[in-house]
Amino acid sequence: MKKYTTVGKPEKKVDALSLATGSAKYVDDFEIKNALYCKLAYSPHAYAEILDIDDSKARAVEGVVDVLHYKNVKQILHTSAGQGFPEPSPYDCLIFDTTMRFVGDRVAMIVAEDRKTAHMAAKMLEVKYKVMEPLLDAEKAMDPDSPKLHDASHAYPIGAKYEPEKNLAAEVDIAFGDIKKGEEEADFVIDETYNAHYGQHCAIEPHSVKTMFDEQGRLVIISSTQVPFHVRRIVAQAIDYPLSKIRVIKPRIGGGFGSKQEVFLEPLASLVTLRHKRPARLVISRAEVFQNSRTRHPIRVRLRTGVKNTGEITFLEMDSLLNSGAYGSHALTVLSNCGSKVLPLFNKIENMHFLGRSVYTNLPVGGAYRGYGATQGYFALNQHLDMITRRLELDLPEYIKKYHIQVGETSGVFEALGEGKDGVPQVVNSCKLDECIDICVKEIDWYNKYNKKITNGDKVRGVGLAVSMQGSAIPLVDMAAAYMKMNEDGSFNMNIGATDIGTGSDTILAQIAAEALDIPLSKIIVYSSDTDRTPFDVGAYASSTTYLSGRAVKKCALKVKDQILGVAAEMMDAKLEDLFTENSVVYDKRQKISKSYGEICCYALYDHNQFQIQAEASEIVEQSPPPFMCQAAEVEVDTKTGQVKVLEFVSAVDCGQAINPQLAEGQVEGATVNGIAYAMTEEYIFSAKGNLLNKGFKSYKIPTAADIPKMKSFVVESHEDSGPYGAKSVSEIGINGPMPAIANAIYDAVGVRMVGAPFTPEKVYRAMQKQKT
Amino acid sequence: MWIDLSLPFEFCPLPCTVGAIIFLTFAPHCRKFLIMNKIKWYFPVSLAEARSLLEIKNVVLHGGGTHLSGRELRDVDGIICLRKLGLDYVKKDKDMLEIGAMSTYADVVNVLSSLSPQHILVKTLKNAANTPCRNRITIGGSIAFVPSWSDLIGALLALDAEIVLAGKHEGVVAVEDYLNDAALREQTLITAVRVKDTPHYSAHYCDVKTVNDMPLFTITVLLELETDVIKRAKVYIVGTKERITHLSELESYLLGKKKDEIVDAKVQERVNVSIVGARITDPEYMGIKAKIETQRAIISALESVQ
Amino acid sequence: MNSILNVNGKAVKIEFTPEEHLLFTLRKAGFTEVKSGCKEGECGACIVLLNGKPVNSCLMFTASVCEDDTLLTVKGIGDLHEPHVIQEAFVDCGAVQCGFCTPGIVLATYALLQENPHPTEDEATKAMDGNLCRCTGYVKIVEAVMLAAKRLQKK
Repeated sequence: MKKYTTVGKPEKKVDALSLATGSAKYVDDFEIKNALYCKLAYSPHAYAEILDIDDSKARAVEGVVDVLHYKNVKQILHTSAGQGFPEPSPYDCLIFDTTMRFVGDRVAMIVAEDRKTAHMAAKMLEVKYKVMEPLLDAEKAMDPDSPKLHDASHAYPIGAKYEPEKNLAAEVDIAFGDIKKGEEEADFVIDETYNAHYGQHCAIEPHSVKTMFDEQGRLVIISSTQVPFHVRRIVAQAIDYPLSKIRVIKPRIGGGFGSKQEVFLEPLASLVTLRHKRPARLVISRAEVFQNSRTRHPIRVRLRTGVKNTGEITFLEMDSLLNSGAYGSHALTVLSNCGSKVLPLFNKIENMHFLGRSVYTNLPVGGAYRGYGATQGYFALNQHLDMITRRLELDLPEYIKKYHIQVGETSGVFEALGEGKDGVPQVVNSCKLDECIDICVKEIDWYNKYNKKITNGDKVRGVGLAVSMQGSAIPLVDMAAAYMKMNEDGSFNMNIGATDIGTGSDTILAQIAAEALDIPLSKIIVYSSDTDRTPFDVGAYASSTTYLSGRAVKKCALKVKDQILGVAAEMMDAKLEDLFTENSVVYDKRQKISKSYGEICCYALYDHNQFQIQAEASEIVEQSPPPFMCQAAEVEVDTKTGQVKVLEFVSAVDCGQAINPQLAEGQVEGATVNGIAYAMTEEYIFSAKGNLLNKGFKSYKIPTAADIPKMKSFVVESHEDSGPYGAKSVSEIGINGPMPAIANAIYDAVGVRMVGAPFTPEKVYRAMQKQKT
Repeated sequence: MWIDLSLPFEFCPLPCTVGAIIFLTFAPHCRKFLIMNKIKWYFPVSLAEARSLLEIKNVVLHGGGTHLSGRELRDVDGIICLRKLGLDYVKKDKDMLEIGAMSTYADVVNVLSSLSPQHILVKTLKNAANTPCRNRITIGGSIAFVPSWSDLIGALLALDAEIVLAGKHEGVVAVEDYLNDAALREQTLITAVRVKDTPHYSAHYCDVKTVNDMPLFTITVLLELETDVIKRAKVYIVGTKERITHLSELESYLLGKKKDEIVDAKVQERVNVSIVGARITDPEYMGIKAKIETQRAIISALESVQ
Repeated sequence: MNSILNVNGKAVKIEFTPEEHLLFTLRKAGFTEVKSGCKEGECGACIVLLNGKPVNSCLMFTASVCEDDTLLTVKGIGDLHEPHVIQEAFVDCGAVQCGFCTPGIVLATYALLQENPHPTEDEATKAMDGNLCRCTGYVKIVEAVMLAAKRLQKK
């Protein structure tokens, strides 16, 4: 294998120093003079009909410029899900609706000269509601007597199954083999139901948008978005404004994790600028992020498996009920991924049935969140595997190795289940899950700890393990493009649509380009995510950037390199086949002469047969090669109080060739800690009326540096032939394992099966009490 | 103000009768908003000046600002900042410590860590809130506001602390009296708190989800021993239905006992509290946990005996 | 109200309302490196050093800052052209992902290392108990603090 010069090196993130010194700009750091302050007003009721809004008192406040609501804003059905077109999410929301579907649904927006005025005026809005009994239990959503939250005018632009008369926002039903046959072959059946709960992304930068007209009267949107091109398209649609007159710029972004794949603020701020010909600023508060933005969809997963006494699984049935909340953003695709990213991992199961349903409730809205359904599905599957192996006294790590998907194998699920439509058949080209398992087993000291119940006073230790896979981009759907041009000193401008939200994609894409061109990273000048100046890219989601955008960048860079070689051949009167490059120089091995990249560019720009050395390239992918991961936890459970402490956590990932191992580790560590926190402390607490009670960091607890366990992360490199320099994705997968690994570890310690999280002391205590009786 | 006002329902206390048509109006609150006075800041440099400023109507006191800055200042006309009064000190005089009201948690921990490292206040304050907040939260402010998650107040009660007041209620009062008599806050400021610095053994339990969490409840245990026998015992739980619960029955049980004479079950049966709070989903469990952790805190305090 | 603040060694004329928070005043005055993450003193993105000590500027009234107080933002310890050792260590260790929490964490580190040049890992994490980071999982941040301490020691 060729030794890489830039790929595989822990290059410094290209934007890191500007971030560490505070000079990098996020949305709210752009000083835009004369901007109008926007403040949303929200429904206090989980389910209500607005009978009337009287904004006269609010408008009378000095400094109030406008009050936007259903009476004065055009009602255009759309989805806020920032997905490709047509979106696989139902068109079920308006900028301002008269039906309030959750506590925090938007009633109106105050536009004022300053913050204080806007907040004051928000309190002077007079809203007449007809309050109705809310639907707060997803299990009851499809009951005939439950209120129907959406009507038949709402539908999918892709025509997917949608039954508002049942509150059904999405349904997926795939099967292969014969479940009955599987049942007959089974020696026993394990049937358990697991509940993955609401979660909040908690990007430290709240969702922010600023809008203005540029000097030519085009609408400029500076947004904290993961999907600038989808923002442009959805804003054009939702406010009925020509797409050509909109420019979306993504500056530095303070984290996303899926939360900023949602276009729910940009249309509002844009409207203000259009109506008042003035810049507008809309930055939501932390409480609004919790309540009014988007969340991880809670999914109830019932898993039924038939097992032979040898351990072979004869059938698997997964019944997933996804609580979509008030709107159907990502309701179909997260649901699909609960099956499609989970079930192929155990591809030896011949009889399989996945039934998924997404339902509306009067609760906060779900959306994209790192893991995207796989996290919820793996919570169930990994505990199930633990149950099977315990019952049969089999060795869990070896059991997984025996049954998981291997190189050269496929799964019917790949073809059956895609993103809102059929999937794409694919064969696994790279998989080092066995190595990942071995690392975790060794590092957590599995065989000296598993089933040993090491006890110290009231405290007992246990270990648990979980495996998972994800994907790399959405095959035959996602597209990315790149453009590059060469400068006189042998540097290159690289303009890419790909969206760096803190992930480091600007850096790793530059590394890929540098590798292709045989130049140091410092010679690449990255400019990304500006709908006027960079080519299209779907954006930062579906673990797509490294694999998909990386391929586009590589293709583009190789086209540029071809041109460089062509010019060099002309300059040196050499044959192309005699040329090779090394560190910004083209050598002619026959004549033993060379030309530097700088000389070549100067020649092309100023000397003979002048032209700009430049290229663009687009890529779509035919498959979505999965990264694989094993994660293991050691916990200590206080048998008196149920308090669980995670002592150590090990992760090992196969992400293909890590373009930048340091950044890959960073993704694993960040996802893992997020997953541990989701398992241990994070939860949405609602009042009986559906009001979120803990909307802030004071009461929704995420860990500090002082809270994390001893962490070890390993990047096990494999080579994915279809990926750029062998790369697959790495950003999402790490969040899938912590919750089931910790649940399995709790079982190992105290013998209780935690089917619901977070594993708070009261829950573990109650589970232990129940077991005693 | 940066106070979050994004929650309109907090301002609509009308009952939400299902099916009924409700007319919401916020006018009564808004009037005040519209005519909100401009707040005036005062920086007295002497207690005499501070005393006279306290007589102004609708003034509030500012220590570190962590509490006040998160509050709505709708009815406030003036803010008296106490920073120029020289109240940031910790003095030791024989068996007594005097802590100036403007000393921050970080100040107290720093000074006491060398002056009296085993002191219960080191234990209780070093982990309270988080680092930047400990640099701002003042002792005086904490006593004046006493949140339900207070890390400080249990220790002050256990230490029989005295509060030094200036203004209308000039003088020295027991911390318990200060807490029980809201009138003592009228036109009065706290200048210092005095606590004992006699040898003691202590433990402090905070029920938190993460290190920077506001505890759902705290348990403070302070014991004084003579030849291994408990001569004085103080046990407080903060965050209960009564806010602060003094476990006097448990204290009587402990008195006169040595460590190995203490029976866990007997301790636990004397801890009967109900822990309350919006985040608590299983109050019964919290009561059970309080029993277990109190018993453990007592053992932990006794094991701190060198 | 009017005042002069000493920010990063320079006198800065400011205008503010009586109930204005320091975070807002600083950002208005162009110190946008002070970030607003939660406005409730939990995330630490708005940390500045007040007389050398980290404080949450979202929980402070601008009026309570006096002219003899010194304020330091992350730009005050080093910039793009002359970065501080701590900032370089954060870059080298891969401790910066989205970077929104970084100014606050760099300042918390600066304050820690001023007071305790040889912290243990536990002391380092404790000093950052007022900072939230959702990207990194903190592993590389702690590495960066330890590396910065080591490099400063050599200087």
